Amino acid sequence: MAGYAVRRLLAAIPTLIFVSFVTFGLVRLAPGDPVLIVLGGKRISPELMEQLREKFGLVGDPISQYLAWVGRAVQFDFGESFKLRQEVGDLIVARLPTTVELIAMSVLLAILLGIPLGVLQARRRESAVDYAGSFVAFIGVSSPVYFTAIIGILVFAVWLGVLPAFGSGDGPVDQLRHLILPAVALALGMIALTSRMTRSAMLEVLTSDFIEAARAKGLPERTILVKHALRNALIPVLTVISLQVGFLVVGTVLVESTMGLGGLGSLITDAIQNRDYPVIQASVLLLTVLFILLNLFTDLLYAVIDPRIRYT
Amino acid sequence: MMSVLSPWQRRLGVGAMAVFAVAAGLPAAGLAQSETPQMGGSLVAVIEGEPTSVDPAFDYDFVSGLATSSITEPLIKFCEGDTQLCPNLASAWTVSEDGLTYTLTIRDGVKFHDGSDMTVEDVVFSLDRIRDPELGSYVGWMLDSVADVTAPDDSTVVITLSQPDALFEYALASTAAHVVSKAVVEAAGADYGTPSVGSIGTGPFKFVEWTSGVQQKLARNDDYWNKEDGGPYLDEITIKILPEPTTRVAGLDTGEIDYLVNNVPSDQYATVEGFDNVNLTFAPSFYGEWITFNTQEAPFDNVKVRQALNYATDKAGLRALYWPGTPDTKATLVYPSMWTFEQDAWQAAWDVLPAYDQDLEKARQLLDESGVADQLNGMTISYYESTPSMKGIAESFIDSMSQLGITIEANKTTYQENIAQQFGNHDDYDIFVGSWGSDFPDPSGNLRPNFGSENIAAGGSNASAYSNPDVDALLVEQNALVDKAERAKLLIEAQALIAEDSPLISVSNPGWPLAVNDRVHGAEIGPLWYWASLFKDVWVSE
Repeated sequence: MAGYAVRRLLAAIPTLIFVSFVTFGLVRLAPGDPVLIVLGGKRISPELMEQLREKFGLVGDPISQYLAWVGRAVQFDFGESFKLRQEVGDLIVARLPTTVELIAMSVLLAILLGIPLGVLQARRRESAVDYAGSFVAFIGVSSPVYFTAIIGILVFAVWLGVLPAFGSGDGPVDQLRHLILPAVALALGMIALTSRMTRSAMLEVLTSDFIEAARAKGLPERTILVKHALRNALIPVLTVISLQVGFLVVGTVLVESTMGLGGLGSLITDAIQNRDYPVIQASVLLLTVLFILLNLFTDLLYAVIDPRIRYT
Repeated sequence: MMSVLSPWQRRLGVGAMAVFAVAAGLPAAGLAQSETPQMGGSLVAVIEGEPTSVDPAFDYDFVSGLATSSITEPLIKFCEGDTQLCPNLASAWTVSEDGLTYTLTIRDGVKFHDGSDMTVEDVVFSLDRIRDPELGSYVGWMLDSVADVTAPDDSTVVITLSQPDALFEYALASTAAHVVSKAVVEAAGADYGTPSVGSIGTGPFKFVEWTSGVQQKLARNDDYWNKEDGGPYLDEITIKILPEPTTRVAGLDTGEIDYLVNNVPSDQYATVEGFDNVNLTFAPSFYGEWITFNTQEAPFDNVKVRQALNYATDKAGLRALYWPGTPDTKATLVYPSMWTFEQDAWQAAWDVLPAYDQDLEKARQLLDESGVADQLNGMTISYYESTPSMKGIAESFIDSMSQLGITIEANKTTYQENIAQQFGNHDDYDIFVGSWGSDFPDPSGNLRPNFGSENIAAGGSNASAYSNPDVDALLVEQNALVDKAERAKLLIEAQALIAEDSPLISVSNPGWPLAVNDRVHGAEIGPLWYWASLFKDVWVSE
């Protein structure tokens, strides 16, 4: 398994080179002059514009600009943000934890709520529970994160006054309290998809012969559901969750700016709006690495869940 | 030598201006106004984006100043409703008759937050630092006419200009003249002003921490040098970053936001006014929104076309819709709030200035006379779609033009395109909705950037690409004068020429909104709030 993981990681290097090259090119092809935007809407002198262009490394041909960037990036030097005047590495280190917490909480919610809901629906097929679950899933899948977040703020912060409307809080307990609304808003779609996937996977497994056999042997229903059915149904569910984490990253962008949580998501949106090339390049690279690791982790997890899967 | 400490005698109470409550955030109805300020408590202010820095050299926007101007302070400051200059870290200053030498007396006994004394050496260092092209300060241009800064003795700093510059004095009240500690800045190097290092100054509040993307925290400076006339009172200020306008409004409602300057969404004023716990007030501004076009390209190189478009625009209707109670505009960017000297002369000039009130008949007639009206058909009007009023201006303009039988298409732009259009090469828009606010309480702060031909090149702020040699000569000449009456005369002359040429359709002069929770007292903003130390006299009642 270790050998397999190492091979997968080595195979990721060309992907990273390709992604960094494309990102580097795309941000420069997008309209908008970073120097004008940094000094946005204010009076500037031509000398300062020239000087900033120089400082930002925007002079010379693009290929040598790219090579210079790669040369520094392999030493983990991603340069300084145009707009925020901070080291990109420092910025990402400061912003990453919030986003990771948000995503972790959402995934946890999806697993803890989505899977049991799906199991219950499959078990009580076409019952009131099943219809109610499907309805909730329907709402969850079709509500955009931005909308869910605003509704959440209105209901829980403005009307009921039980949760804060925005911000990140002081101290662990307060921070957790501040994460509830955004994490739920973010997780809603994922809970819905996870429950739907669990339901259909469970339905398929529950009609298999080996379940009949287990029932015939007189095993308790709980053992049949959890040990036999769910374990077999988990592989497609896991795949969906792992894919969904990608969408969660997109969701964090919206949730973070709506709820004033300064995570990686809002850093990236700001950077794209401000044409802050160094921040965009480094963040996209980081996301690529995270996706590669996530995919690898999911593949390895398959083997844990299903002993028939072996990597050599 | 001229006296610089003229007492402020006249309020800016002209016409509709009176509806503005400059003194924002007075105690809420029911509370006695004489209530004495209370020490302590904390306050949450909100800004819409991550600040650039807490280094004053890079504070030239609407979000960085809340923290920066509380930490470091300028040599002199804007006062009297931001129309005059008052002493600050410099207790007095004089200007030589030729306007070339500024002699400042630096206050004694002022300490930086680390306990060290502020010296003339720090003052000289601070000004030289901003002037240093190596630093690339965003406000460096303000000190462009400075030739030399020296400290002849322990309490005097002498600034020598290479040429007289009427606007230079104002620069001394901006972030370009904030005094930083030489020792601290040199020790921090390039990290000065970043979240990891922060900043140290002489101001009423000290830098505590800055969590990137989340918030900045400040604490009261108990050793503040100027406690006689008020605060600082607050123990702690938290400045939170919240990009989403809807959430900002919700935060005012729930009481999580105590203080919101400028970033109250303009389409939500009525909602915010409806909150029991929030006071929304407006301060006069030197800011306006307008429509323009490239005056060097056909058909806008034809003065009749430009005047026709001005007559076609329903400026009064737009003001009533988006900025009820704000001052009327005329064909100038020198709003009555900006008559900071020679007010009578400006008033007399205003009375005869054309307003181009909407008159579709006149517009039609002028278009017919121009003979090039058909070129307008199918042109686009570009605007930044996220600003409700700019969208409104564009839609109203399209509607008015259609009444003249001319089709104008909407071209919604992103922020990046908007910036590129206003400050770019003038080749990427037909008609453009833009905005500008003066950096200084001086009419030329709006005339020269927008109408001086030296600002046409890329990066420049003359979005109309307007070039009139007579106007240029007047604008350049007045800038070299010390005598304010003479300056006013030349500026008024330039204003009249510009009004006749109609390079730009002046639509509005909105006020700056300030929303505060009703437990917040002593919160006041003026037209130049972005240069001001906002929290010194603010206190909260529990």
